[in-house]
Amino acid sequence: MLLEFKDIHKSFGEVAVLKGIRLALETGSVLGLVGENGAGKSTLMNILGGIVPLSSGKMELSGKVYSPDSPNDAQTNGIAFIHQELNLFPNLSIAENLFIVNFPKKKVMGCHFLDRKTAREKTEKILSQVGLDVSPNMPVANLTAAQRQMVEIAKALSTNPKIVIFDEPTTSLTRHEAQKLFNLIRSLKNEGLAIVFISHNLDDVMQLTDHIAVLRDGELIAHDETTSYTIPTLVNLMIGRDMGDFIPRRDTVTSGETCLEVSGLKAGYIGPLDFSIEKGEVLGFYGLVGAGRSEMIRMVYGLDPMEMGTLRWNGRKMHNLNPVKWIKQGVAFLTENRQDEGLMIDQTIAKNVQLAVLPRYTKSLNRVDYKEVGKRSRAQADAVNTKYQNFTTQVVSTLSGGNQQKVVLAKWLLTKPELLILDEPTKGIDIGAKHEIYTLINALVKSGSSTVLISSEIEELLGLCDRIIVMSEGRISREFKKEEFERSAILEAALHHTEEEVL
Amino acid sequence: MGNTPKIKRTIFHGTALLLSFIGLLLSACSKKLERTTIGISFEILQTEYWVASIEAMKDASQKNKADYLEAVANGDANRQFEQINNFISRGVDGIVIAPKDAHTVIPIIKAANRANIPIVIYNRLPAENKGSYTTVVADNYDITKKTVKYMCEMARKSGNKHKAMILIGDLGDINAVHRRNGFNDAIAEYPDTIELVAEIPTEWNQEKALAGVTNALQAHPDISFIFSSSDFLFPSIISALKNVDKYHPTGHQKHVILGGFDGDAMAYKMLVEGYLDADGVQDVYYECDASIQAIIDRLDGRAVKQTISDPGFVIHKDNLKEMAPKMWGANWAKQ
Amino acid sequence: MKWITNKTVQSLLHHSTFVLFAIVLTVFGLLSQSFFSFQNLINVLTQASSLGIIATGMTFVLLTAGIDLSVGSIMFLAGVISSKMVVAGFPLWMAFSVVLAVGILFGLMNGFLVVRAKIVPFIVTLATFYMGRGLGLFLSETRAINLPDSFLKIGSTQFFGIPFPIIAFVCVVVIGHLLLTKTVFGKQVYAVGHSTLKSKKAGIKVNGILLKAYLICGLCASIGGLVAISQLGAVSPTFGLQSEFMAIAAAVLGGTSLFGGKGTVFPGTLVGVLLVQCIQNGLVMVNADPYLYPLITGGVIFLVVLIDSLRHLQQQKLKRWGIHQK
Repeated sequence: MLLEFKDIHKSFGEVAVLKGIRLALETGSVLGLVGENGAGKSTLMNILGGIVPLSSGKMELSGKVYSPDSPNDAQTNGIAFIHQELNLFPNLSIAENLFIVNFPKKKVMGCHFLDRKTAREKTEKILSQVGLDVSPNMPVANLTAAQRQMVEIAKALSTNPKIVIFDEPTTSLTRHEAQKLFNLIRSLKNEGLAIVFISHNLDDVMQLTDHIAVLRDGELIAHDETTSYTIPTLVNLMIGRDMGDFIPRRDTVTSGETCLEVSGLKAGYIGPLDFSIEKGEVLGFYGLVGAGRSEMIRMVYGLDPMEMGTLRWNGRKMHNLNPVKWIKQGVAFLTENRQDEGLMIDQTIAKNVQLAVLPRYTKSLNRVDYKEVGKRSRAQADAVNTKYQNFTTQVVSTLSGGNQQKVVLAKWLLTKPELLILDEPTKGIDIGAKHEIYTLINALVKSGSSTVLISSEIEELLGLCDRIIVMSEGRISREFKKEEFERSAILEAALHHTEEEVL
Repeated sequence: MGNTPKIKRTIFHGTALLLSFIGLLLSACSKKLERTTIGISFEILQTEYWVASIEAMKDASQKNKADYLEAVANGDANRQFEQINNFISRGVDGIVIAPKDAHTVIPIIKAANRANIPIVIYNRLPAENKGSYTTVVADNYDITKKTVKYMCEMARKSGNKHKAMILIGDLGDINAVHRRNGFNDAIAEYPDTIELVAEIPTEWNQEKALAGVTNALQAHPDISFIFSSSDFLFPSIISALKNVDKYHPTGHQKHVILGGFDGDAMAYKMLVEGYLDADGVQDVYYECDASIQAIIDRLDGRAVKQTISDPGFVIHKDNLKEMAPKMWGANWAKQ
Repeated sequence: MKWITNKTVQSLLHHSTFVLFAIVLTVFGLLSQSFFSFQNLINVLTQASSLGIIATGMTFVLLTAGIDLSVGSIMFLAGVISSKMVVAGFPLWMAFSVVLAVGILFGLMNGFLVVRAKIVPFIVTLATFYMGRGLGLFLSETRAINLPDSFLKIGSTQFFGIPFPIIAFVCVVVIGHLLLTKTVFGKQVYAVGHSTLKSKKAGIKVNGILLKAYLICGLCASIGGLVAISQLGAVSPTFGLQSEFMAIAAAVLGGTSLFGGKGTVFPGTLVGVLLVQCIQNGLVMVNADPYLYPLITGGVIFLVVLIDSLRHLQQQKLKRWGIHQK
């Protein structure tokens, strides 16, 4: 055994987050670590990575007691942690990023100067190891998300680790890029490294890992070979109950009445695009990262300028688009980037939920009726099942990703939208929260509103949508009606060229 | 965690310091006002001129057997307004103010008028002619013109044509603008002798003055007539002149005709040594006496002119002995 | 696709300061024959030396996403202390060492308050700005101090025909440039400027870096003060006023970002300083109307900042559409 967790306990204050974890890690294997947010995955890995100390129990590394007192200490013991949020400096080159602390030095006239030649050679070697063919002098700002991920991995590998922890490494990668990453992980495994792979994407976990450990509420629920699980059993283990239909069914049909019509939309490499959405419809958009879905919808909502195109809302032509106008018309937009654009992350839950409806609840002299709006916003937050300690004082940044997303949803649902645009609403949130968001979408549509759903998860779209538009390289490559839904055809439409080019 | 005691200590020290400050303020405020008391508020004490002025102002009050309170606003118009309000609430009998600028003094005048306290505006004219007040100002235009005309006469006597340079002050300062106009009108009377080739905006900054003079001497090496809108720029001029070997006393063939404005200690020394030919002097003693006198007169019910103008004087080598006692810088230099 | 093909416009935008610098040189060169003379070149460099030294120090602080408003006061204090000491008969070297120590002390104080007390740099250095100037005014009793000739001699000493201030200027720029580009410290300054949080995670001793940056800035301010008074021959109570703004403006003109992590001493700040100084010099050479000076200087700063923000907007646009600028 390379590493053993022996009866690990951890509490923050009076809250026990880990309750006696026993787990072992072998060399040359990949361990998948799954569980809902708050199940204790991150805490366990933070203990391993020297970021937090354990409360009781011990870790053994190659048979010796291992108790790191800092991330640096963990690193010298051969443990590399690749966090979901990359720790790179875009204003520096790749080589400078790799050696920002331990830059190779040379002595000139008694002074220590950077030895760029050695650094470049070392960097080239490490980059070739992760299969990245770019110059070590390239500023990180010029790299794509996937390339940056590779640099981060290269940085971890430069410390010659025995164990590498990947925390949600694929959230910003395209499928193709993710596959490349998996190949790299497999080759690391073959070189004898032990890998811990944390992901919400169970497909990936099933595909990549040798063993899977399931955590729930701070306890190890299951630990077995990957082949002994299926996705539904995994889900049940994680949730702790049978979810039935993971994506709840909905029987309503669309009204046939158009509410939003987009024609000739164009800007940059996007478009021209034509589509429309009906009342009571869920319209899905699928495509690879970079296909232009988010860019398209941001233009529709007036967040980015368009070059040409016309929009009709309930038959009326819309000019000078901007979010304020849309909100007044009853159109809400949940952006992809909830931390920066969807939330005031350092403000309280109450303030966030109330933000969009404040103008609607005013008394005389334009004063906000805080009593009324407070009551309604709390009711809405509870309706979407947000878990919080204190609605009016708790700051949003202290919530888990899923609960943050529910706060954004509550904000928009409070405006009673006729059309709700959702851009990757379930990205990076756990299965339980996903299920709840699906239920909410169905409820909204049942009440007569429409939804545009942009997602990179095909299952989600197949389960929820009435119609799916697939985009590729800025254009619509194919449109699928519900009866034509087929996984492989949709994937193919996303991967391949636009219709014209095929013809 | 280890920081907590440190922070506590810092807070403790800070609080102690603050309390002692407040104590100091209170004790300063509790002075009793029995004799005639005059509040003196200066915008700033950033040059010798201001320091000499406030000293002269205090002397003048004492001469008139009046007490005084002093306040310096450090260039902050708001703070000056508050200080004047403090004066008023503490019941001063009169106010002398050297205001931050021509506009912010207007509400101050209103406040003094409302409290029925006579107010004298020192050294700057208010932007609007409203309310009741007395201004005491040097006639910057006239003093400059007299000084420059003296220099021009010298130039004419030498028989040569002269290329001239002027160092201009901050163009947001009305005094600087008046001095520039006085200079221009003076040289306009000597078109045959004086040709203006360089106007250097200094913004009252020594480094800018040094750079400006150096650059002008580079463009026109034959400049032989320099007027500085303030004496405190002389070190910069001297430094630039020395670099091109043009700093010599009167009578030397490379002598540059040099004039200034203010009458500070350095100017006095340069006059004595013969480097400076003429200096326009504001009669600080006259102005301060007039300011305090104006308040005493108003309190005694005598009529006071709205504007008291200080005609100033030009000091040069021929009247040096006679005028030096009236030159504030000369006394300053002897201290 | 307009924005990719139009490469010339892009590279012009990218080097806006250099382009403006070239335009300024050409215009003044055409208007005045003596503008391009050797002596005038020396003059411009001499006049730029003090500002350049201060702006070099300022660049370090700006790179860490901080700001130092106290440099003008440090300059003033340096001037007052050294001139008082020399007038009182202390040897020059002793006065100089005391002044450098004062600069370091102020830098350390700024750095310490920023790092330990976690006070915003703007507030910390605003406080030390008032303290420094107040102390200087107190020591000088608000009087101008004239310096003995020994001081002025330093300012006009020449080595191989090059005045001492220029040599000091060049030395500081070279050392600053080497520190930023050739040492680990320099690279960590950029990292800290980008994000202190990430820097801490990466194992950089953030506090040490910040402390050193403010120390360098304070030291440069005191050196700049010495270089300035060795040319002026006197310290007046207004000495060094607004130098902090000139230094910040010069650094920003040279491409240093106020948000940290972006900028260079060479060529950036150097070009910014020379641009400012050339405009001042050229306006005197052509005997421009005094009212034009602030208009033109302000106009150039405005132009550079405008162009910079245009460039920034365009890059954002490109990035959003997934196109990366090579």
